[in-house]
Amino acid sequence: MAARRKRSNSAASKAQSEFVPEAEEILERMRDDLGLLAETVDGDLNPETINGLFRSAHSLKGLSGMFGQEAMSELAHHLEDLLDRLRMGRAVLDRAGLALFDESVTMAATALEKIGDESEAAALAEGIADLIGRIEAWNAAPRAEAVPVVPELDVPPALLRALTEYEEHRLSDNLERGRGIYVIDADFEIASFEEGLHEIQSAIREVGEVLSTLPSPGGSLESHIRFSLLTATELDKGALVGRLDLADNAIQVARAPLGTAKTEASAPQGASASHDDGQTEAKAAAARAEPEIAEPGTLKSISDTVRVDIRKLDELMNLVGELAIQRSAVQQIASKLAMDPATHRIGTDLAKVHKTLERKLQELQSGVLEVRMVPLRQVFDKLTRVARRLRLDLEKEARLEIEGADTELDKLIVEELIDPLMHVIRNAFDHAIEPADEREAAGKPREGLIQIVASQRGNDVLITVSDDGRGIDAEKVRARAVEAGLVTAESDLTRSETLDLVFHPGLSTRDEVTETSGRGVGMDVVRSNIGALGGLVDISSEVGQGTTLTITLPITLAIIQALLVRVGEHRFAIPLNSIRETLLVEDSDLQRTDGRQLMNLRGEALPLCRLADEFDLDTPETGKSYAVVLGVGDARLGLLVDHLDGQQDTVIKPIQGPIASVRGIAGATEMGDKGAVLVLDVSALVEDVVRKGEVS
Amino acid sequence: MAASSAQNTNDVTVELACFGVNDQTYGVDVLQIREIVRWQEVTPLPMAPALIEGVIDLRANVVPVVDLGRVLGGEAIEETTEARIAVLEVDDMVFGLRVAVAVDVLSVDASQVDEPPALATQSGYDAVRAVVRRPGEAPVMVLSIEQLLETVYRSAKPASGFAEERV
Repeated sequence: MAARRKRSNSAASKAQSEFVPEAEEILERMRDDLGLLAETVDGDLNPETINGLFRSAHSLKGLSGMFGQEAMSELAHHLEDLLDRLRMGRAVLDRAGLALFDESVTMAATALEKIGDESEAAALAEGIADLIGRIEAWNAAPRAEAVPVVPELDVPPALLRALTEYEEHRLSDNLERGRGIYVIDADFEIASFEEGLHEIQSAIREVGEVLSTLPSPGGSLESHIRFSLLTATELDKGALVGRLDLADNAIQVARAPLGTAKTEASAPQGASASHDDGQTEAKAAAARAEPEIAEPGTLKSISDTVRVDIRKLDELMNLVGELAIQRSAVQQIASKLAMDPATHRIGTDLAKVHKTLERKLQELQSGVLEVRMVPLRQVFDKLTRVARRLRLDLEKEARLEIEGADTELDKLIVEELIDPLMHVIRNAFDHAIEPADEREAAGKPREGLIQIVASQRGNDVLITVSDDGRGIDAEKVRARAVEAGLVTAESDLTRSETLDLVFHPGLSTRDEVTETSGRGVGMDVVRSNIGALGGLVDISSEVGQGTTLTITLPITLAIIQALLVRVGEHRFAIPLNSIRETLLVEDSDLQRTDGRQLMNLRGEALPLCRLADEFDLDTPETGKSYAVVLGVGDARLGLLVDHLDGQQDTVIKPIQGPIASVRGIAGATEMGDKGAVLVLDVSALVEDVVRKGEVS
Repeated sequence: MAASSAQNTNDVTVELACFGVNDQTYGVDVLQIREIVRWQEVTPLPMAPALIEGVIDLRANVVPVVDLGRVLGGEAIEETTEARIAVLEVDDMVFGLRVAVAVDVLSVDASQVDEPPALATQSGYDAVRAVVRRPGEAPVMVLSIEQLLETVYRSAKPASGFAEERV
């Protein structure tokens, strides 16, 4: 136990705390699969089990490589090699081979347990090297090579040519076993073919094996797509037709099953059957397996991690919120008691207790919040993979650089970020980065650069995505916007206002639409996705130099800081992250032009809007008010209110049901004894007022 | 009486939660009621339909509140120690129904249920889907919550952003 503590406190513990549980899961899966293999080692190997093991070894290799666990990665690499030979039929698994697998998994588990323990590292590395040596020796041992024979089959040659090496091996293996080989043609509606295909594949797997699935010509209808499934089973054609509920002519016999073909009544054969048996007898089999493998000293899992449904954390967060409300009630009681001379003593004692309660509550709150936090690395890793693929698909020379992957954000926000960021990266690859020759001609390096930088600013996280591509031509954007009727040719727009138009639905500056960036979804979706997370997107761009997108996000959705304001007797909360500043304004500061109310803010015209007017509230004009300057992107709006009531941590809850959905109101929040307070939807407000201004 | 035509309630027994509003008794199928809470101050919601009084905070949820008195075309319910807010759930829609008093839960069977009176001139009557007669006592008007919500949806936006406050 002590060793465990030490480990989790060490410097590299963060990375390990991610690595160990994941590696453990993989090893657990491998153990299960090995148990199944041990059951069938002398007979039919289930190809699915071998494939499963192969995938596990591959994941383990990648994972341990990523976390710098060289020895384990090397071991996994050898296992992967070996399994690849097995699945291709280039090697035959015997008991000695199986024992090597068992030993490898045990060794990997031991290595996991002792991770970070320097004193054991050398001995472990030696043990692993020795094991790898033996795996290589086993691998090299001469064995009767299975010679694949594909006899004359009544199968379309195109289908045979399309088989991968693995599929070919599976075909010859099944032929050797005397199973029937069939070509099944099935038509599906294009809209829903994945479902239908999955259905028929599962049905086949119950009685045999799907060797290969290929789309084929000859679909009967335009709206249909036809697939040919090369299938191996011990059933004869009649039984197969009955089993799959298909028309008789949909199944061609490439070779009838040899010997006594099984009829429908007999026990189902193949994948699922041996799987089931294997599971029940896996343990017995493991016990029989020779030589005996020493299990690690304990069966307890090494990592102390639990996976938690985020909704449970939400519930906890709600509870913390309710406790906070009770706390303020206690505070009030304490101050009431303290005011009365008769109970002054009790009051001050209670106030002290309350102070501690408050502190502990804050710790509890930040504790729950911390649990929800995950590093942005999770998203960025995915983006790196996307970038790699795009680079190949688009044949563009560009690389993705990432900084600040350790910046932490609420898990929910991180999940929702993937899609918009992916879209931005695709845009950059597809539209922004020029072909290499064009870049060279423009005096830029041939290879384009896309940078993602994340950093924390107070309660916000800033993510900038910038490229050194061709930039956005503001004039072109403007021309398209005029064409689309979004603005008039005479509109007086600043450069940033013009660029902001790219967030308008349906505006794309490139004429042809390519597959990668997709049609329909554009920057407007990016902005609304980010907006739904309480975030903001800004864009800046120079022709020929590149484009920078700045995304500002709150660290968590669970609790936001809000400014409480008053209009007459109505109170509202405004999320602090969209407030730029607050000003005291006199009526004499206000100007009216063209029906718009404005004020001069450091030389710039700030459009104003009285919250009372926006919501049709009956409140007397006070002559003096506060302007809360809201910012959404580059748009600014001064919201006039009567009073500022200070800041508060709030939990926004949406209003239930569509009946009470009101534009401009994001939800409500509880304020202790004061009941519910409405929270303003700043982006909707700013958008409405700014748009109204454009129209007039 | 025995041959009276039952509507929507057939031969099974239905449990009705009964509320008093403006000297009438109204019943709501208990299955549509999530809970009944004490009177609490409603936060007015600007720009909402006129018949939405505002919202209340109900632990993890913020729910809109409708005043049964006003929906039926009468006076708004006043704050008393007996006044309650019944939290209803219909088709995933949760809302509060403000009532003057929660009377009791009544088990009724089909023989007691009549169609609503034909001369439904009194406003708000379209929300009454059946009447339960009780010998020697005032009848209970069975409310159709769906119809009630229809009325709320259709209520015009008020001249002022907030429904007039009646306390």
